[in-house]
Amino acid sequence: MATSAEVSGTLPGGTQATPRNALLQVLRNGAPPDSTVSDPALDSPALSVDGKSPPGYTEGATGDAGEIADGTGFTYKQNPMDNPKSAKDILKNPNAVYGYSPNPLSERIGRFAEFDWTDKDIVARAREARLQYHKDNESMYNIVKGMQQNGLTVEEIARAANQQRNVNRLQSYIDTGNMSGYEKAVESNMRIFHNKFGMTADQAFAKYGSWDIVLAKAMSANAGMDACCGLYDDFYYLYSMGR
Amino acid sequence: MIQISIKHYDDNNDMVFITKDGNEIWGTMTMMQFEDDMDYFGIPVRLEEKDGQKGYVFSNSIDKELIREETKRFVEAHKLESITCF
Repeated sequence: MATSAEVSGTLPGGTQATPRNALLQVLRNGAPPDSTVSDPALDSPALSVDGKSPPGYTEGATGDAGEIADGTGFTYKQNPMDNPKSAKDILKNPNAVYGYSPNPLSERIGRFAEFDWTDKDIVARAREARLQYHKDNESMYNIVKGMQQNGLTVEEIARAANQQRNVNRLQSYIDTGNMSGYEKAVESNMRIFHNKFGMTADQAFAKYGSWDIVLAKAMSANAGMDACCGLYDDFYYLYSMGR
Repeated sequence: MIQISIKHYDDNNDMVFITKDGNEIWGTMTMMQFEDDMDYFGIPVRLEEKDGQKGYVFSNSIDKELIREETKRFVEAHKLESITCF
């Protein structure tokens, strides 16, 4: 049976890359600012998505900081339209709860354009999912923030993030006692990547072409989704990683 | 309760459906970047609709049990049994 140690790799400096050790490494090097995720929306009542047609979209904003959603008064300090990654996935929508809706033409989030982004209950559900997603990734965010604060290079951070993501995946099988799933994942990794942990950082670099993109892929933060859910400012620091 | 089922899609692909208490939860799965997650691990999937049901299409050259296990892992890792899904 595999153990926690078997899915561990080595972080820069020779430390075994279990989530616990990675966190300890961050703590040794200086803990990043508190980024605990919490939100009143997590207590929102659940309502069904009703498939209403999205209300009138408008073309993207012009890049002013502190965009205000006209219908709701919600304001971002950082303008999502200033970020090319989110700007191509969203449209300014003054009636949307947080001022933005998915662009129906977006390859990444266009499928969500069918939802009514002016409906607070629907948006609360989407926001809840995004908050849970970020909370589940918090340990990795903290590792990356700690490495950034300690002045490590993008390549070093990207390598650690890649490794941590692979470890987290296999560790989750072990944590739930699903060893048949663990074996399947390792078998898949060996077949696809010739490495039991998954795609290596060097393979990721060859695939994506830059360490910035390797880091962004490992972090997997979708700025457009967050913008539609009122979370763009909260996770703004993620979008500048790997840029 | 979340259920995962895999069905035939076409000659080259199968499709995995995820429901919670009988309702599709593709919205939550995709909002949590399920496709990006699978792609990172070399198992590409894409959201499609068939017969009025949305699910994730994948090549039938990929082991169905791997898809099932990875989907289950994603559901458990993101605690989808505990949160409101859509």
